[in-house]
Amino acid sequence: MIVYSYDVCTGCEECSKVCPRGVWSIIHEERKAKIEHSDRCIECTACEFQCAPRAIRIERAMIPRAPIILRD
Amino acid sequence: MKKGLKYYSCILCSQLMWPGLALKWNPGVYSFNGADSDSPVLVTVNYYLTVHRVIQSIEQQKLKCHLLVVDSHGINAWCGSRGGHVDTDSVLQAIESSGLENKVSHRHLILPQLVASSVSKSVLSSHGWRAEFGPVEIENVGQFIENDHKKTPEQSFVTFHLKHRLEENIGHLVFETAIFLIVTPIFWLLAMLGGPLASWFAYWMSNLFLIMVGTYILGTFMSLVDPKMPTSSGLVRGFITGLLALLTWKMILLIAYNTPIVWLDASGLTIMGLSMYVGFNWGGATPYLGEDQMIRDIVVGLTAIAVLFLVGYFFPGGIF
Repeated sequence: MIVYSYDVCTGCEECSKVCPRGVWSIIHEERKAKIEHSDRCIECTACEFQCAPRAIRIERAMIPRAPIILRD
Repeated sequence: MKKGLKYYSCILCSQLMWPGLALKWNPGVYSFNGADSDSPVLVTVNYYLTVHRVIQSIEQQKLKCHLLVVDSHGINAWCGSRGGHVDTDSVLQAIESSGLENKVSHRHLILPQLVASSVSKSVLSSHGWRAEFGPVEIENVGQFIENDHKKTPEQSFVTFHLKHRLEENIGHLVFETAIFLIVTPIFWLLAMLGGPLASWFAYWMSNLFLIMVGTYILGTFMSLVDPKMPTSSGLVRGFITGLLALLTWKMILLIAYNTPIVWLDASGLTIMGLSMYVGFNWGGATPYLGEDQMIRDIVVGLTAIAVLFLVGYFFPGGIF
């Protein structure tokens, strides 16, 4: 399950560059990442590991859950 | 590049390997096509099949480059990264032990994208190495270098083409054969308890050849129609394949032997059970499932197989 902090994201694009499943896209006007295909996520944690501002967290969930997007 | 015994062993035994038995390539730096101190440095892990294919692709693309082979205990990049067999320390250790610093004038590494779960660019940077993640497939590295180290979104995605699927299937056939060799003596021992377990063993032995061939056909079918399946769940894929196989088998019996159709008799239950087993096993070989999704498939799948066994026990003449 993806937990994404919108406000923390700096739009560096690392998540979209390392995701092997095309989960992330970038909204260039806002300089933010966007969860494009959450159903494709296989929780490999590449985006979480590479996200320098720590805007992404991948939580293990035995029962599938929709991603959580945190905004102030 | 010549494909030897080790290469084919990797393909045949891909599902049987665990870290202690993994086939490895010697870590170190290898140079290709007259690479000099300015040539780019590609990084890979030391699973034999991985390095073999990387070198093969480098030669095909005629890339003038160095290849740093990092010790991942013989595990491939994606599994090694997620499973903790390769990390930033492994890369730093490979740099130090190979003397890479003396071979190149720059401090730039092209890492395989699939180690992104465990290799930190910022830590490498703090050690003086600027790293970036290349494309998933080594075949795209030449284009990546030419394109000013930029990759298209498609080059970041894992693919699962027919050739890969058929190779995976060969590994599965070997694995399933090994499972048959393991479970048959277990069933024989359980048969000593008598009752349904004894009749199950008698049924198993008298149909073993058919069961094995059926399992190979189910797995091969799943690998061929993989992209057409409406779900990523291996178990559900197995269930769908099982229904198709059941329908085909009963039609064969009806047309060839004029046998009245009882859907869930011993052969029907066996087809469904085997297909679900092959399905969740196949699901683990695809790049569509995460760890938790696999656990869900296995738990539900084994429960479903146990239920099928109980149905066979309480309704020996079959139902439906």
